[in-house]
Amino acid sequence: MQLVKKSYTAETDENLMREVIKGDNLAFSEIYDRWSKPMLNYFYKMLWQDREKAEDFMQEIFTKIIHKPQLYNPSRAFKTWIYSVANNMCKNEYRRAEVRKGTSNSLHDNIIVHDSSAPDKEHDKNIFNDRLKEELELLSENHKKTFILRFKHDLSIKDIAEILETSEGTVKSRIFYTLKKLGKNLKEFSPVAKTIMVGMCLIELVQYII
Amino acid sequence: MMEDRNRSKMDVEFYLLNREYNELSSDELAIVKEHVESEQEFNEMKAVVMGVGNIFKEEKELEPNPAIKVALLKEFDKQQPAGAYWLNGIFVSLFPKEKKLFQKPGMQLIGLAASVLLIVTIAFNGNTDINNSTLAQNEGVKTEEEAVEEVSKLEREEVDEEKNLLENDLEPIVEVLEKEIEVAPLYEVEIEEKPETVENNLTTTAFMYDEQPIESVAADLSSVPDADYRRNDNNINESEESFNNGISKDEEKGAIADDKLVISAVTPATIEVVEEFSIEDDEGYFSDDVSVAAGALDTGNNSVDLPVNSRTLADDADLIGILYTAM
Repeated sequence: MQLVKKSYTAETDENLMREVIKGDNLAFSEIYDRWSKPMLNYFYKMLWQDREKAEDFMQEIFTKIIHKPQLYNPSRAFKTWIYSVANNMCKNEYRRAEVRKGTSNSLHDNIIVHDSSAPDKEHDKNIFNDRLKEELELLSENHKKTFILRFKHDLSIKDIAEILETSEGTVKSRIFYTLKKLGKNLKEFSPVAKTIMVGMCLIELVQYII
Repeated sequence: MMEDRNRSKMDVEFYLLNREYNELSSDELAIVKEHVESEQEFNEMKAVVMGVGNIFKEEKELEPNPAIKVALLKEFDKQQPAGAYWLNGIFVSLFPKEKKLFQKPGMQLIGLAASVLLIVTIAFNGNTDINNSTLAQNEGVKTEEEAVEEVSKLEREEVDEEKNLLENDLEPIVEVLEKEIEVAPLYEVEIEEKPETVENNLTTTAFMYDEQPIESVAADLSSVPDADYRRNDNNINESEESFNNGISKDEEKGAIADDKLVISAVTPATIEVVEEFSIEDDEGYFSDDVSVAAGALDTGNNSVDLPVNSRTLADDADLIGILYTAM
């Protein structure tokens, strides 16, 4: 009689999902341990950095796995499947947000709008990070999703195309468009601009001393 | 720095991450120039890619609330039919990873058990002084297991003894039976042969009495017409005469066959003597024979020429003596 069940830590996501479909709660626990954190952070990024909303969505996606595990096709990569489900949930939430926006005519509370012309903060790295986050929030949904999946979750062009149900060419063009736009909006942080600004500061400092 | 495993050398991102603009070869520059117009644009994009990498790397990732997992596992157990309970499943619920060491139910249970054990040990410590001389000690008492073992050992010995006794008792019986089996046919043979042996003995006895005279007289008989007559069944007169003497023909034949030699021993000269002897004898066996022989002699069908020089028994006392000796 087997008293201790085998460990699932070495199993692939696809095999774990096969066990989940059979009703194995340990396999589900392992799946949750692997994917709860990435899903929470994805929803957090995609849903206006609202932690509570992100946790609700994360719980909802795993509830879907519990109630309808057969929706997952084991021949498909689990990673792309779970991101595509998350993406569809985000789409639905965007639609609902549009409706709310139309009625309340107000911006989402969590979206922080900064005055990009504030020159004081541009010297600091943290300021660059803040600016970049702001710029990311101002991107369109599709460009933002593509950019986050590519640079935060480190997915391949092919996987992103599968998740977003689009072609690889579209994914590539979206990435370049986003990079160009961010680069233009943050051009003062480019190495050349930095050098010029450091030089100007030094000149101002010398003049002040003299 | 982001990983390059999802980036090929055909992607501009690869060069943005890994090269400076002035380090690009002509081939690489050709690939880059398909998407990037100038060096300035390349540097701006490079700053974004590097900055994004740092942001996402340094960004503190959110940790999911442990309560969500508990709720989901409960939901899963509700949804799925009750299956086998695994020990490591119990372990996971007793020692969840999410909780701190002293918040884990397993640790709390261990602490509780240790406390109870400590209390019990302290509470009963004063009453369990083994070295107390006032306490009754019974060292000779055997434990239940020892007693059971001893009883079973005795039973085994008894069984062995019984077995040995049975084997010892059975051995002679088996031998006797074997002997009986061997001897039984011999008895049967003897029993079957016994009557014959008795008869044979009788005949032998009879034979022995007349052994010597038989051979000497047999030759004489062949020449005597009387003997031929006795072998001839068609002699009616003789048969009638035998019948009159109370002897059937067959019996007569048997008697003749059996006692042929005896009769043969009777010579015409000794008929009277034999007759007298037969009368005195209790057995009719000889008397019959003699009568037959006498009858045969009396009959005149086959004339018997008795020797002239023959003597009567009265004349020869020696002959009588010999006869008695022979008898």
